[in-house]
Amino acid sequence: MSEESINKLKQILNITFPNFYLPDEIVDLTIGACEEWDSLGNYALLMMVEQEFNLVFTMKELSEIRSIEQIIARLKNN
Amino acid sequence: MGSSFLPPFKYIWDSLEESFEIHFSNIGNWGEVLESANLKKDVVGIFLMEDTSFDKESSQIEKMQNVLSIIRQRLTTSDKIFVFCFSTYTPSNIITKSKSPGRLSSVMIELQKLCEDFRHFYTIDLDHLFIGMGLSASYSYRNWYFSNSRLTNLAWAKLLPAINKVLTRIQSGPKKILVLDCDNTIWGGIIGEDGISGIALGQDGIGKAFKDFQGAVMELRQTGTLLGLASKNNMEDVWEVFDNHSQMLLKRSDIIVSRIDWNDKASNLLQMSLELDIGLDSFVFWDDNPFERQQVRNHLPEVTTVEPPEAVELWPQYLRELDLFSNFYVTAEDLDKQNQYRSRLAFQNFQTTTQKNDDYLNKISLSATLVSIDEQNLSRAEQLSMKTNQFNLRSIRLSASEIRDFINHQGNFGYLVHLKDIFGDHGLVALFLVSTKEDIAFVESFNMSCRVFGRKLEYWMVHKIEQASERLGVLSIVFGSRPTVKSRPVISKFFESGVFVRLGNFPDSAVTLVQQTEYRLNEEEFYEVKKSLAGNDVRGIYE
Repeated sequence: MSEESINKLKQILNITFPNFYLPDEIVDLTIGACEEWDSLGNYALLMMVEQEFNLVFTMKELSEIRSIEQIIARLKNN
Repeated sequence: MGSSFLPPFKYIWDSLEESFEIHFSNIGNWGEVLESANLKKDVVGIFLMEDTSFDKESSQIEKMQNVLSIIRQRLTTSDKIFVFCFSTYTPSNIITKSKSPGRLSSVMIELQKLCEDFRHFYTIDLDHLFIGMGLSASYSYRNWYFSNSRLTNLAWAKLLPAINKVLTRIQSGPKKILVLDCDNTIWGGIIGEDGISGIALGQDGIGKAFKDFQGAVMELRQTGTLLGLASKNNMEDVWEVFDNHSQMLLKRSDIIVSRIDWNDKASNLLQMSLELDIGLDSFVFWDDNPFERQQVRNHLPEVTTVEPPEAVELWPQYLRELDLFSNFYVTAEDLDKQNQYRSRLAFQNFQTTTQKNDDYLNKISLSATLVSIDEQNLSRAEQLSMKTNQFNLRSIRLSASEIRDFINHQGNFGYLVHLKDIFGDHGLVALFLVSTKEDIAFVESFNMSCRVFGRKLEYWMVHKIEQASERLGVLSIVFGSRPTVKSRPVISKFFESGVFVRLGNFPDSAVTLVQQTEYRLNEEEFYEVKKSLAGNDVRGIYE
């Protein structure tokens, strides 16, 4: 995963969860990491990832992907 | 915002939240928004016909009719703005649809009727809005099954600016004037080099596109947009094309103002703005040359400089889809705007060639009449209230329904003013609204179009308010003043004329009058009319 992509993910997290103070390392973050990141927040996050990385998650992926690690794995397969 | 689905994410709304405060209704409770508790809020509703398909009890058309009848009830009980965003798309196929092109007609007729019956009802047709992106990019089944909301992020990104445009256009009028370049803009080629027979205009190919672009410009001109020319050329060359080229749709008489010389275009636009007394923020500039566009953008950021598509064949459509000049209603004043500004320019020339005193006003046969506000001219009254930036004493903005309510209220009166002189029929150019309580009258609203400045019409209006008040037994007439940056110069001049006495504060007994308008008193200054003076000034000129 390039540094550029990680930075893009950080930006996406910042926009989606504006009150969340991001740690330097984001790879370990999962749903519940902040109050806003509930199931609706997770959906908002994935919609933003779709838009910014220009991909489409399947229905199944939308319900299963719940962490940055999973998002990165999915981006690698793209 | 009504919502039967999860509220879209915050980042999507940011653009709209800069200008508006947004509340969401609870999930599944859009009906609640329309009920009495929220009658004081503007509503944006989004309705996708396909969303009703899971419920098979009644047809989708019946369900939409049902929604529309609930909306009709809401519109009858609340005069707050309602923007209805709707999609009538439902999955179907060629064979089924081939025999029912009119299956939605009853719904469309009711929507149209709602628009006509209620001035505060507006629609956005989502299918039309999304047509450029394609439906599959706009509506997502995955999103629907996952979150009960079909719209994709792309669709939201398209829809929110559209909602924003409708809501802001309600409050502020469209642009007033389109200033065009000539070479490679209204015709192909360079007149100074190619000559009148060498330019591309009307011939098959690109010539047709330029002619059609002129056609689109003429459509704007016919609904009240003023036209100007800013061209680096020899003046005679340009006018020769206007006068003698058989394919020109634009005529010399369609152009209200022009600067055809070798000066920079920003200075020329600035001069036009002064000449017409139209603010730069009402100007739109169209030029094929990126250098000229950049120069105008740098020097006059208030002017809207259009970034036209590179390919000229796309220009006619681009201009027709541009909403800068569009309004919800076109009034008789709009249609005649060209003549009104022309007579204004003539008046200015006359003014500079005659002495600057009342003599010249005596010579121009001024004739003003009061016109009662009724349903036919209500939209003009609203326009004067919403769009007058300079001569608007209290800077208050009233909608049509607020004006109607005001007039119907016991003890209130108000009129539009019609003005004519030797320079032309100026139409309905001013509005005043007055409330009275016992022996005090308060001028709640006093607006005059800047087109007719310099004719002492404002003092004639004061005199008319005096006459009307006298009949109601009023002893004292009070004006409020709450100037903005734009209105301060004219307002100061108005109150310093000797007709008024400044009051220390607003007469206590009349406070209830002002409260009707919900504007705070501590931001205002108050002036009382000196009885003996007001009429003197205008008697000779207008009677």
